[in-house]
Amino acid sequence: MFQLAKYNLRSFRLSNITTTYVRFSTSNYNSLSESELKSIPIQGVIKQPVNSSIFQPYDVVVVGGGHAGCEAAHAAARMGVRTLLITHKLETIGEMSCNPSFGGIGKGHLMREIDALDGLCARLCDKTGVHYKVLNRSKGRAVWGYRAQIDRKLYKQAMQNEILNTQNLHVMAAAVRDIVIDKEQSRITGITLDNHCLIPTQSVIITTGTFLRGCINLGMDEQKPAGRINDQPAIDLAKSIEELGFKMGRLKTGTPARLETKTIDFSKTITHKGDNPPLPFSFLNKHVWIKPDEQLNCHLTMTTSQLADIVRKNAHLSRHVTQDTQGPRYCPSIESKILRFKNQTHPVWLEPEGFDSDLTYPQGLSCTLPIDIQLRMLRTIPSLENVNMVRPGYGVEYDYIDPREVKPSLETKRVTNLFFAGQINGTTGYEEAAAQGIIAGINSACKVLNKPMFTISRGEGYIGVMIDDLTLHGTSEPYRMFTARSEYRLSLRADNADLRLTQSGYDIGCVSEQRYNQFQSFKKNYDQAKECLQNLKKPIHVWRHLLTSPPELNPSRDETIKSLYSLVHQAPYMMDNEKWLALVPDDQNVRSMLLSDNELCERLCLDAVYEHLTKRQKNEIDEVKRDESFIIPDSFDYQILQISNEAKQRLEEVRPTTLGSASRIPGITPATIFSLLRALKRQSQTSIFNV
Amino acid sequence: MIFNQLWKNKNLFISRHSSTLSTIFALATGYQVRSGVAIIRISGSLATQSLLTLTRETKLEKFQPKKLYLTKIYDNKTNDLIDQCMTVWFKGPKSFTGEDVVEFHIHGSKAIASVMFSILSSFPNYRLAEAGEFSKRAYLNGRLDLTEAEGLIDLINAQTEQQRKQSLYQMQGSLKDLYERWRIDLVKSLAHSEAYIDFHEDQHIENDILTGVIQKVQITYDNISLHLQDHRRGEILRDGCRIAILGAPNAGKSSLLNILTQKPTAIVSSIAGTTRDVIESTIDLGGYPVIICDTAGLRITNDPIESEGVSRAFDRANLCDLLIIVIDASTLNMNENLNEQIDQHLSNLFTIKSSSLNSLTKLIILNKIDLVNEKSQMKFSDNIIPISCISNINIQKFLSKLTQTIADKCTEPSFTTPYLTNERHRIYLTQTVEDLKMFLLLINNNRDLVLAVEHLRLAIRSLGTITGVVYTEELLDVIFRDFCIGK
Repeated sequence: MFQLAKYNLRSFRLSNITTTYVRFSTSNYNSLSESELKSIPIQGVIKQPVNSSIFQPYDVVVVGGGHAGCEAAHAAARMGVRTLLITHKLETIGEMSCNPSFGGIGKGHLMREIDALDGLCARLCDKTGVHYKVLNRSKGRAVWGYRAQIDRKLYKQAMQNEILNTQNLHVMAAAVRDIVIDKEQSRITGITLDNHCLIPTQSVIITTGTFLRGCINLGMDEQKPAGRINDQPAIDLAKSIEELGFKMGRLKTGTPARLETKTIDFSKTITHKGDNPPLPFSFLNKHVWIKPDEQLNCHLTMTTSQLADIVRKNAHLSRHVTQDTQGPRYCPSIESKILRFKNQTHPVWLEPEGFDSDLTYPQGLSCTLPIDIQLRMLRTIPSLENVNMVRPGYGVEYDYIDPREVKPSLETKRVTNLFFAGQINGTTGYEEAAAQGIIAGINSACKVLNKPMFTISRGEGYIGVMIDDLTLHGTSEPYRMFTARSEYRLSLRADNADLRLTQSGYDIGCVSEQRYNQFQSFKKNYDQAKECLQNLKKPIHVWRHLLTSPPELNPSRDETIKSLYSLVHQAPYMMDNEKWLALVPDDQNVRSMLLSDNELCERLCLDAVYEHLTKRQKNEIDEVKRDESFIIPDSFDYQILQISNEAKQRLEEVRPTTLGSASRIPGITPATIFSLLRALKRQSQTSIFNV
Repeated sequence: MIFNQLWKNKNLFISRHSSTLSTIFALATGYQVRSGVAIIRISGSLATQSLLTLTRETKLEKFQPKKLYLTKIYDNKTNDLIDQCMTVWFKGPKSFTGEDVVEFHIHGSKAIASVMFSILSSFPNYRLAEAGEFSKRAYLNGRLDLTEAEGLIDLINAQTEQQRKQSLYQMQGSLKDLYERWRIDLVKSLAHSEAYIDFHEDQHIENDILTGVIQKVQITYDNISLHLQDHRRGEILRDGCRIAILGAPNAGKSSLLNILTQKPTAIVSSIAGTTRDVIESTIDLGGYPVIICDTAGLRITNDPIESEGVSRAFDRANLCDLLIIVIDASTLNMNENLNEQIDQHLSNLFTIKSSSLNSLTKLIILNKIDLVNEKSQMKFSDNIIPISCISNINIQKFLSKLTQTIADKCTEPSFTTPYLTNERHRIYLTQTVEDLKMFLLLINNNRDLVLAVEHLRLAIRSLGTITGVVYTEELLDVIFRDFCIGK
């Protein structure tokens, strides 16, 4: 358990503590009497008396209330450990700092996986979206991208409602100054706040996003420290992380201007309507919260050569462009797009910010030019000739930590029980942040509960792909998820995220009983129906006679025996659901089950479509998993290996945690891996394996 | 303690997953086959399936583990006899790898190994082992102790880095350049397809991007297919051209062998049926390596030993690249239509054992031409050469004709159009072509784009196994270089 002895609480100044606000879930505050409970409004801010009792050691402290922080805190709390979330301002918990949308290609997959682990964002998007659209419908189910425009305000409210009403989860508004570690063991013991007050804790998750030494750029003149417009950056924390020896780098991102909706002439744009019916993100939901025709529209317009001229003439005024010595490969801003590619025109999506918002978000116009030039530039775009710019676009520069400093569990290699999650690890995007948050949250709790680390392999999920990429290769540009990054794309589909992850999530303890029960009942039906279809076997010519419409009267005799299941991917036979469903026996209610459950039917067909290739992949995935189960201890000395110095250097650099990850480092040969295996086994015999 | 826990978990893990790992096979005796015996080792949960299928047995009880059996093995598709060999199997976990292991101790011939490889790779869930994979499995299954592991490390080294370097070195850059060019073309096509999948809808990637991809892939597909249809030229050159001398008894086959080897390799006598076994000799003919075999005279006989000799002659002929058919000229009537007589003679010979040697190149020798008087009448087509082994008539002409035929088989090695030299490469290239074909089929029929692209990915992986693996970064580099993608 936690050792308090080394730190004397009284040695810290507690003078400012009365200004610290703490919000917590009433349902879990045991020290309060019944009567006190009644007097507390569920969503009130409680002024905590100066009393060190609230600073009983927390199990997990999450620093940051963004998408990573919220998922992390909620996941840790779900696991049943005492969790505290600390954020600068309570009212920015769950803020969508940039685009008003969630999901997309690859990103939608991440959300489905977060949902399969009982995370928040997918569920919340189902009740706050204003426009739901699945991308890539024409390209095959494996790459469908669930996406939605979200009402910022509603999302933030929904998130705060969750965070403030979760058992085991307390919330505090404060700035974190320092990380306190036991230097000898290199282990977290607590954090200190701006007011020098110490909060002892067993583990800490840092999810500070762009706030670490954040700095906003707007034109050449304006450059000021801030994590987000109007928000203070975290400078002390950055220093204290640096002092611990973490390798850090600097990344840039940007956000476009916000436009006044009523000054846009939408008649000059192409209107895009939401899906009908809109598909929910969460496995828990059959429908989203709004009716199809209540959805708001998105609009598409294109930039013109006039805009390109303005950008080219003023490029010297953009800090991001002028600084761009070796910028990211995919361009974050309209300036880079114009300067790097020949195309004169680029798409601009005009996205609604919410039902009662009068703002529009012009996606594709991220920009750091001076304000007057931004406005001139905007007004060259068809439909924006008379637009009012409510807020200019700006760029943010911030510190990130080389993600090779963290393990696949997201715990840092340097400091035991310190976790990093989200944009701080060099990613971009809400979904990438949330996905890391949930993993860090689960693992911080696992540490406290003495459970094994919960990791997802490349073969099990996009979350695994992302974390593996980051922890093995690092990143020199904001890391964004694409489906191209996964080698097992056909197996890692949005539709089967629950089958891939919910069971293991439940086993580790982050999935609620309610979700698990729902999952189990689905899985039971699914397995039963699948088995039934697989056992339904007839010669091909019989199937052809039965399934084609109009029935093929004399199909050429093909006596090969095939199951109905294996025929599903042969499109011409299976277009007509009713036709093949009629052939399914109803002895165990399988047919009526399939008839009544459209989703089940669809998911079975999907599995069947991809099965002949996913089977091939499954073998590889299992082999990857097996290598992943071979763990390299943290203290392993690569110098003892009889391998080339180059290989040693590479292994030293990355310090892979498993044999599997070691084998994926570029330039590492099977011989090196074998040498590693041999040494590992030798060490086990002399039992150096005391971690 | 923790390690023990880990070890326990690992075993749990393996027992849970081992049933789904693919079954792997490889030549356990190394790839420089030309030995008395070569061993093909197969390991995995489905290993015994190959034992049953190839031996045409239905029950595994027929074979006790750890006991050697002499069996015939057959091609499961054509039912042709492949070889007579020793087989043995080991039941997991009491085996080298800890899984079920089957070994075929075949004759050390490249040809037999090739046939076996192509049959084994057609089995579901079977694949060629990666370098060192058997040892890796042995290690992971806890079958290999430290000393053994130490002994193996050298072997592994030899099999991986060195072998790869060596084969690349062997390719002298020409093959490597060719494969690398194909791979880069395919990677580019893949990157464009991936960009289309990931960014087409929100970043406006042009629709016609896929048309370009299809065209490019089609070209690469055609090129690799053409490269594979090389009639094994490179391999013949590397491993030697195999020639069998066939003919009726007492036609002078052994005399011809002795002339070619320039020493009394085979016993020559006037008694029909002197040669019983296959006699093999290696010679250098005009710079080309040649493995030449003398065989028993072909006839129907009641003598069981001679009969076996005839069978062996046919079996060997089937594995050769070129046949020399020796005909006793004195048995032909030189005044009649000679070609017809020769055709008749050949078909008589070959029907002794209903065997089809039609696809093989044949060189026809009319021996004992000195015993024929009507020389003035004789006109022969190009691949019929009259000679006399005893009187040394026309031997020079025969040798130059033979050299030329072999040269055609091997083709002069050239830097610009290199040929395949390695069976491993052939297997991976064949997989590449098959997946490219599937890609084109699916994409041209407007089927699921991701499924199609998956085949493109698989194709690149197979090709990459020869020249080097693709990392996603390489792909992303192309995507971001060629397309404008950003928020």
